[in-house]
Amino acid sequence: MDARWLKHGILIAGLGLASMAQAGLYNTVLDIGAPMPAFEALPATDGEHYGSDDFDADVVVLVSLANHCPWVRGMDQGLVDLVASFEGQSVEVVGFSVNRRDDDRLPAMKEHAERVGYNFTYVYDESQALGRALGATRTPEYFVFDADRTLTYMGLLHDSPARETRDGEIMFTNGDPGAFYAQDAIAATLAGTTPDPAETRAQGCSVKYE
Amino acid sequence: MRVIGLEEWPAIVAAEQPDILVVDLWASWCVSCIERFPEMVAMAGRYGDRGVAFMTLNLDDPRDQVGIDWANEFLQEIGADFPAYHLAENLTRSFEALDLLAIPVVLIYDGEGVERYRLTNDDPNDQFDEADIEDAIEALLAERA
Repeated sequence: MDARWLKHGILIAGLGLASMAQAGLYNTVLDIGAPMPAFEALPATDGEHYGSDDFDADVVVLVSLANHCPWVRGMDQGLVDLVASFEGQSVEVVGFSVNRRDDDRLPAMKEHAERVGYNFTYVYDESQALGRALGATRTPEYFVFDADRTLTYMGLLHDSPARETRDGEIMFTNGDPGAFYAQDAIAATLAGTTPDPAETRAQGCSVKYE
Repeated sequence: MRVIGLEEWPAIVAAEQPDILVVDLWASWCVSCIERFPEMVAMAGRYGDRGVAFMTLNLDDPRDQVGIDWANEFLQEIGADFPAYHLAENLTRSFEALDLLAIPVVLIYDGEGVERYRLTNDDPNDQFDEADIEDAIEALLAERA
Protein backbone atom coordinates (compact mmCIF):
# COMPACT_ATOMS: atom_id res chain seq x y z
CA MET A 1 0.00 0.00 0.00
CA ASP A 2 1.15 3.50 -0.78
CA ALA A 3 3.04 5.17 2.07
CA ARG A 4 0.92 8.31 1.87
CA TRP A 5 -2.19 6.24 2.31
CA LEU A 6 -0.76 4.48 5.31
CA LYS A 7 0.15 7.81 6.84
CA HIS A 8 -3.33 9.09 6.20
CA GLY A 9 -4.92 6.04 7.80
CA ILE A 10 -2.70 6.24 10.86
CA LEU A 11 -3.50 9.90 11.24
CA ILE A 12 -7.20 9.18 11.27
CA ALA A 13 -6.83 6.36 13.76
CA GLY A 14 -4.56 8.39 15.97
CA LEU A 15 -7.03 11.21 16.23
CA GLY A 16 -9.77 8.79 17.20
CA LEU A 17 -12.18 10.47 14.87
CA ALA A 18 -14.61 7.63 14.42
CA SER A 19 -17.31 8.61 16.88
CA MET A 20 -18.68 5.14 17.54
CA ALA A 21 -18.07 3.26 20.72
CA GLN A 22 -16.54 -0.15 20.10
CA ALA A 23 -17.54 -3.47 21.58
CA GLY A 24 -16.45 -6.12 19.09
CA LEU A 25 -13.94 -5.53 16.34
CA TYR A 26 -16.74 -4.70 13.91
CA ASN A 27 -19.71 -4.23 16.22
CA THR A 28 -20.50 -1.25 18.43
CA VAL A 29 -22.84 -3.14 20.77
CA LEU A 30 -21.85 -6.79 21.21
CA ASP A 31 -18.57 -8.55 21.79
CA ILE A 32 -17.83 -12.25 21.67
CA GLY A 33 -19.04 -13.84 24.89
CA ALA A 34 -22.13 -11.66 25.15
CA PRO A 35 -25.47 -13.29 25.94
CA MET A 36 -28.08 -13.68 23.23
CA PRO A 37 -30.67 -10.90 23.46
CA ALA A 38 -34.10 -12.12 24.44
CA PHE A 39 -37.03 -11.51 22.13
CA GLU A 40 -40.69 -12.37 22.33
CA ALA A 41 -43.57 -13.13 20.00
CA LEU A 42 -42.03 -11.96 16.74
CA PRO A 43 -44.23 -12.75 13.72
CA ALA A 44 -42.71 -15.12 11.20
CA THR A 45 -43.24 -15.93 7.56
CA ASP A 46 -44.84 -19.26 8.54
CA GLY A 47 -47.68 -17.45 10.31
CA GLU A 48 -46.44 -18.31 13.80
CA HIS A 49 -44.84 -16.12 16.46
CA TYR A 50 -41.48 -16.90 18.01
CA GLY A 51 -39.51 -15.85 21.06
CA SER A 52 -35.96 -16.64 22.01
CA ASP A 53 -37.17 -19.31 24.44
CA ASP A 54 -38.74 -21.26 21.58
CA PHE A 55 -35.33 -22.36 20.35
CA ASP A 56 -33.64 -25.11 22.31
CA ALA A 57 -30.95 -26.38 19.97
CA ASP A 58 -27.31 -26.59 21.03
CA VAL A 59 -26.51 -23.83 18.56
CA VAL A 60 -28.76 -20.95 17.56
CA VAL A 61 -27.78 -18.73 14.65
CA LEU A 62 -29.42 -15.33 14.19
CA VAL A 63 -29.03 -13.81 10.72
CA SER A 64 -29.79 -10.20 9.89
CA LEU A 65 -31.62 -10.09 6.55
CA ALA A 66 -33.45 -7.66 4.28
CA ASN A 67 -35.33 -8.65 1.14
CA HIS A 68 -34.41 -5.53 -0.78
CA CYS A 69 -30.68 -5.90 -0.20
CA PRO A 70 -28.63 -7.09 -3.19
CA TRP A 71 -26.09 -8.64 -0.82
CA VAL A 72 -28.80 -10.70 0.87
CA ARG A 73 -30.11 -11.85 -2.49
CA GLY A 74 -26.58 -12.59 -3.62
CA MET A 75 -25.97 -14.85 -0.64
CA ASP A 76 -29.45 -16.34 -0.19
CA GLN A 77 -28.44 -19.63 -1.74
CA GLY A 78 -25.39 -19.80 0.48
CA LEU A 79 -27.60 -19.35 3.53
CA VAL A 80 -30.05 -22.03 2.39
CA ASP A 81 -27.12 -24.38 1.74
CA LEU A 82 -25.67 -23.60 5.16
CA VAL A 83 -28.92 -24.50 6.89
CA ALA A 84 -29.24 -27.69 4.86
CA SER A 85 -25.70 -28.72 5.73
CA PHE A 86 -26.65 -28.93 9.42
CA GLU A 87 -29.87 -30.88 8.92
CA GLY A 88 -30.24 -33.49 11.63
CA GLN A 89 -27.86 -31.67 13.95
CA SER A 90 -28.82 -29.53 16.92
CA VAL A 91 -28.67 -26.21 15.06
CA GLU A 92 -31.50 -23.73 14.60
CA VAL A 93 -31.21 -20.77 12.26
CA VAL A 94 -33.44 -17.73 12.67
CA GLY A 95 -33.42 -15.00 10.07
CA PHE A 96 -34.72 -11.63 11.14
CA SER A 97 -35.61 -8.37 9.44
CA VAL A 98 -35.97 -5.03 11.23
CA ASN A 99 -36.13 -2.54 8.36
CA ARG A 100 -39.38 -0.60 8.05
CA ARG A 101 -39.31 -0.37 4.29
CA ASP A 102 -42.39 -1.94 2.70
CA ASP A 103 -40.19 -4.29 0.70
CA ASP A 104 -38.58 -5.57 3.91
CA ARG A 105 -41.75 -6.05 5.95
CA LEU A 106 -43.57 -9.31 6.65
CA PRO A 107 -45.71 -9.56 3.51
CA ALA A 108 -42.65 -9.09 1.31
CA MET A 109 -40.68 -11.43 3.57
CA LYS A 110 -43.23 -14.17 2.99
CA GLU A 111 -42.97 -13.78 -0.76
CA HIS A 112 -39.19 -13.68 -0.65
CA ALA A 113 -38.88 -16.70 1.64
CA GLU A 114 -41.17 -18.75 -0.58
CA ARG A 115 -39.46 -17.69 -3.79
CA VAL A 116 -35.96 -18.39 -2.51
CA GLY A 117 -36.89 -21.50 -0.56
CA TYR A 118 -35.86 -20.33 2.89
CA ASN A 119 -35.51 -23.44 5.05
CA PHE A 120 -35.37 -21.65 8.41
CA THR A 121 -37.53 -19.49 10.65
CA TYR A 122 -37.74 -15.91 9.38
CA VAL A 123 -39.14 -13.30 11.79
CA TYR A 124 -39.92 -9.60 11.54
CA ASP A 125 -39.20 -7.14 14.35
CA GLU A 126 -41.12 -3.91 13.83
CA SER A 127 -39.64 -2.51 17.04
CA GLN A 128 -36.09 -3.03 15.70
CA ALA A 129 -35.13 -3.97 19.27
CA LEU A 130 -33.52 -7.28 18.30
CA GLY A 131 -31.28 -5.62 15.73
CA ARG A 132 -30.31 -2.86 18.14
CA ALA A 133 -29.50 -5.36 20.89
CA LEU A 134 -27.31 -7.33 18.52
CA GLY A 135 -25.63 -4.26 17.05
CA ALA A 136 -26.69 -5.64 13.69
CA THR A 137 -25.89 -2.93 11.18
CA ARG A 138 -25.53 -4.89 7.96
CA THR A 139 -27.41 -7.47 5.97
CA PRO A 140 -26.55 -10.26 5.89
CA GLU A 141 -24.76 -10.56 9.22
CA TYR A 142 -24.40 -13.80 11.20
CA PHE A 143 -24.51 -14.26 14.98
CA VAL A 144 -23.74 -17.74 16.36
CA PHE A 145 -24.72 -18.64 19.94
CA ASP A 146 -23.81 -21.78 21.89
CA ALA A 147 -26.00 -23.90 24.17
CA ASP A 148 -25.63 -21.33 26.93
CA ARG A 149 -26.67 -18.68 24.42
CA THR A 150 -23.29 -17.04 24.51
CA LEU A 151 -22.04 -15.37 21.33
CA THR A 152 -19.24 -17.37 19.72
CA TYR A 153 -19.06 -15.83 16.23
CA MET A 154 -20.33 -12.81 14.33
CA GLY A 155 -19.80 -11.52 10.84
CA LEU A 156 -19.65 -12.94 7.33
CA LEU A 157 -21.07 -16.10 5.81
CA HIS A 158 -17.77 -16.68 4.01
CA ASP A 159 -14.77 -14.82 2.65
CA SER A 160 -16.26 -13.81 -0.71
CA PRO A 161 -19.42 -11.80 -0.13
CA ALA A 162 -21.74 -12.03 -3.13
CA ARG A 163 -24.15 -9.46 -4.50
CA GLU A 164 -26.95 -9.59 -7.03
CA THR A 165 -26.14 -7.07 -9.75
CA ARG A 166 -28.66 -4.87 -11.54
CA ASP A 167 -28.79 -7.36 -14.40
CA GLY A 168 -29.46 -10.26 -12.05
CA GLU A 169 -26.03 -11.84 -11.97
CA ILE A 170 -24.43 -13.07 -8.74
CA MET A 171 -21.04 -11.40 -8.34
CA PHE A 172 -18.63 -12.75 -5.74
CA THR A 173 -16.31 -10.08 -4.34
CA ASN A 174 -13.28 -12.32 -3.97
CA GLY A 175 -13.86 -15.19 -6.39
CA ASP A 176 -14.94 -18.60 -5.20
CA PRO A 177 -15.34 -18.69 -1.42
CA GLY A 178 -12.47 -20.41 0.32
CA ALA A 179 -13.12 -19.82 4.00
CA PHE A 180 -16.60 -20.66 5.26
CA TYR A 181 -16.59 -18.66 8.45
CA ALA A 182 -20.20 -19.17 9.58
CA GLN A 183 -20.24 -22.88 8.77
CA ASP A 184 -16.93 -23.45 10.53
CA ALA A 185 -18.06 -21.39 13.51
CA ILE A 186 -21.26 -23.40 13.88
CA ALA A 187 -19.33 -26.66 13.64
CA ALA A 188 -16.79 -25.46 16.20
CA THR A 189 -19.53 -24.30 18.55
CA LEU A 190 -21.30 -27.65 18.22
CA ALA A 191 -18.03 -29.35 19.07
CA GLY A 192 -17.49 -27.11 22.07
CA THR A 193 -14.42 -25.42 20.65
CA THR A 194 -13.74 -21.76 19.95
CA PRO A 195 -14.34 -20.49 16.41
CA ASP A 196 -11.33 -18.96 14.71
CA PRO A 197 -11.89 -16.30 13.57
CA ALA A 198 -14.59 -15.33 16.02
CA GLU A 199 -15.27 -12.04 14.23
CA THR A 200 -15.19 -10.97 10.62
CA ARG A 201 -16.16 -7.72 8.91
CA ALA A 202 -19.67 -8.33 7.56
CA GLN A 203 -20.15 -6.83 4.09
CA GLY A 204 -23.56 -5.86 2.88
CA CYS A 205 -26.32 -3.28 3.02
CA SER A 206 -26.71 -1.02 6.01
CA VAL A 207 -29.67 -1.57 8.33
CA LYS A 208 -31.86 1.50 8.67
CA TYR A 209 -32.74 2.22 12.31
CA GLU A 210 -35.49 4.75 12.91
CA MET B 1 -16.94 9.49 -12.56
CA ARG B 2 -13.19 9.76 -12.58
CA VAL B 3 -11.63 6.37 -11.86
CA ILE B 4 -9.04 6.31 -9.09
CA GLY B 5 -7.15 3.86 -6.90
CA LEU B 6 -6.83 3.92 -3.13
CA GLU B 7 -3.33 5.40 -3.33
CA GLU B 8 -4.66 8.51 -5.08
CA TRP B 9 -7.20 9.38 -2.41
CA PRO B 10 -4.97 11.38 -0.02
CA ALA B 11 -3.79 13.62 -2.85
CA ILE B 12 -7.37 14.22 -3.97
CA VAL B 13 -8.32 15.30 -0.46
CA ALA B 14 -5.25 17.51 -0.20
CA ALA B 15 -6.07 19.22 -3.50
CA GLU B 16 -9.27 20.66 -2.00
CA GLN B 17 -7.46 22.58 0.72
CA PRO B 18 -8.07 25.11 2.14
CA ASP B 19 -11.75 24.33 1.61
CA ILE B 20 -13.70 22.20 4.02
CA LEU B 21 -14.38 18.97 2.16
CA VAL B 22 -17.51 16.82 2.42
CA VAL B 23 -17.22 13.36 0.87
CA ASP B 24 -20.21 11.12 0.29
CA LEU B 25 -19.34 7.42 0.02
CA TRP B 26 -21.90 5.47 -1.96
CA ALA B 27 -22.56 2.73 -4.52
CA SER B 28 -25.26 1.87 -7.03
CA TRP B 29 -26.30 -1.11 -4.90
CA CYS B 30 -26.77 1.02 -1.77
CA VAL B 31 -30.43 1.95 -1.66
CA SER B 32 -30.00 4.13 1.42
CA CYS B 33 -27.22 6.05 -0.33
CA ILE B 34 -29.35 6.67 -3.39
CA GLU B 35 -32.37 7.76 -1.40
CA ARG B 36 -30.43 10.39 0.51
CA PHE B 37 -28.46 11.66 -2.49
CA PRO B 38 -30.85 14.50 -3.46
CA GLU B 39 -30.33 16.13 -0.10
CA MET B 40 -26.57 15.98 -0.57
CA VAL B 41 -26.93 17.75 -3.92
CA ALA B 42 -29.10 20.42 -2.31
CA MET B 43 -26.60 20.84 0.50
CA ALA B 44 -23.77 21.30 -1.96
CA GLY B 45 -25.77 24.12 -3.50
CA ARG B 46 -26.32 25.80 -0.16
CA TYR B 47 -22.67 25.68 0.88
CA GLY B 48 -21.00 26.11 -2.50
CA ASP B 49 -20.03 29.72 -1.94
CA ARG B 50 -18.93 29.31 1.68
CA GLY B 51 -15.63 27.52 1.20
CA VAL B 52 -17.11 24.04 1.43
CA ALA B 53 -16.37 21.56 -1.33
CA PHE B 54 -18.43 18.44 -1.97
CA MET B 55 -17.45 15.26 -3.76
CA THR B 56 -18.65 11.70 -4.09
CA LEU B 57 -16.63 8.52 -3.84
CA ASN B 58 -18.37 5.60 -5.50
CA LEU B 59 -17.45 2.08 -4.34
CA ASP B 60 -19.02 -0.02 -7.07
CA ASP B 61 -17.13 -3.17 -8.02
CA PRO B 62 -14.87 -2.29 -10.98
CA ARG B 63 -16.08 -5.48 -12.72
CA ASP B 64 -19.72 -4.37 -12.50
CA GLN B 65 -19.98 -2.21 -15.60
CA VAL B 66 -23.79 -2.22 -15.45
CA GLY B 67 -23.67 -0.74 -11.96
CA ILE B 68 -21.02 1.81 -12.90
CA ASP B 69 -23.00 2.90 -15.96
CA TRP B 70 -26.10 3.22 -13.80
CA ALA B 71 -24.16 5.32 -11.27
CA ASN B 72 -22.89 7.68 -13.97
CA GLU B 73 -26.37 8.16 -15.38
CA PHE B 74 -27.80 8.69 -11.91
CA LEU B 75 -25.28 11.44 -11.14
CA GLN B 76 -26.19 13.21 -14.36
CA GLU B 77 -29.92 12.88 -13.83
CA ILE B 78 -29.79 14.16 -10.28
CA GLY B 79 -27.66 17.14 -11.21
CA ALA B 80 -24.64 16.32 -9.06
CA ASP B 81 -22.23 18.84 -10.51
CA PHE B 82 -19.49 18.36 -7.92
CA PRO B 83 -16.47 16.08 -8.46
CA ALA B 84 -17.35 12.39 -8.62
CA TYR B 85 -14.82 9.61 -8.22
CA HIS B 86 -15.07 5.87 -8.67
CA LEU B 87 -12.75 3.89 -6.42
CA ALA B 88 -11.81 1.02 -8.72
CA GLU B 89 -10.77 -1.41 -6.02
CA ASN B 90 -11.89 -4.71 -4.59
CA LEU B 91 -14.66 -3.84 -2.13
CA THR B 92 -13.31 -5.96 0.72
CA ARG B 93 -9.98 -4.18 0.40
CA SER B 94 -11.63 -0.76 0.16
CA PHE B 95 -13.70 -1.32 3.29
CA GLU B 96 -10.64 -2.48 5.20
CA ALA B 97 -8.47 0.39 3.96
CA LEU B 98 -11.12 3.03 4.66
CA ASP B 99 -12.17 1.24 7.89
CA LEU B 100 -15.80 1.04 6.83
CA LEU B 101 -18.50 -1.27 8.08
CA ALA B 102 -21.23 -0.10 5.73
CA ILE B 103 -22.30 2.79 3.55
CA PRO B 104 -23.66 5.47 3.34
CA VAL B 105 -20.82 7.25 5.09
CA VAL B 106 -19.96 10.94 5.01
CA LEU B 107 -16.41 12.05 5.70
CA ILE B 108 -15.74 15.70 6.48
CA TYR B 109 -12.22 17.12 6.27
CA ASP B 110 -11.12 20.47 7.61
CA GLY B 111 -9.14 22.99 5.59
CA GLU B 112 -5.90 21.22 6.43
CA GLY B 113 -7.05 17.91 5.03
CA VAL B 114 -7.61 16.30 8.41
CA GLU B 115 -10.66 14.04 8.69
CA ARG B 116 -12.65 15.66 11.48
CA TYR B 117 -16.01 13.95 11.17
CA ARG B 118 -16.93 10.43 10.14
CA LEU B 119 -20.70 10.08 9.96
CA THR B 120 -21.81 6.47 9.81
CA ASN B 121 -24.71 4.26 10.75
CA ASP B 122 -22.41 1.79 12.49
CA ASP B 123 -24.17 2.26 15.81
CA PRO B 124 -27.87 1.30 15.77
CA ASN B 125 -28.48 3.87 18.47
CA ASP B 126 -26.60 6.71 16.79
CA GLN B 127 -27.65 7.07 13.16
CA PHE B 128 -26.68 10.19 11.25
CA ASP B 129 -28.94 12.38 9.18
CA GLU B 130 -28.59 15.49 7.07
CA ALA B 131 -28.79 17.75 10.13
CA ASP B 132 -25.69 16.05 11.54
CA ILE B 133 -23.81 16.80 8.33
CA GLU B 134 -24.83 20.45 8.45
CA ASP B 135 -23.95 20.69 12.14
CA ALA B 136 -20.47 19.35 11.41
CA ILE B 137 -19.96 21.76 8.53
CA GLU B 138 -21.18 24.69 10.59
CA ALA B 139 -18.85 23.73 13.42
CA LEU B 140 -15.87 23.75 11.08
CA LEU B 141 -16.98 27.04 9.54
CA ALA B 142 -17.29 28.53 13.02
CA GLU B 143 -13.70 27.55 13.76
CA ARG B 144 -12.62 29.66 10.82
CA ALA B 145 -14.63 32.71 11.81
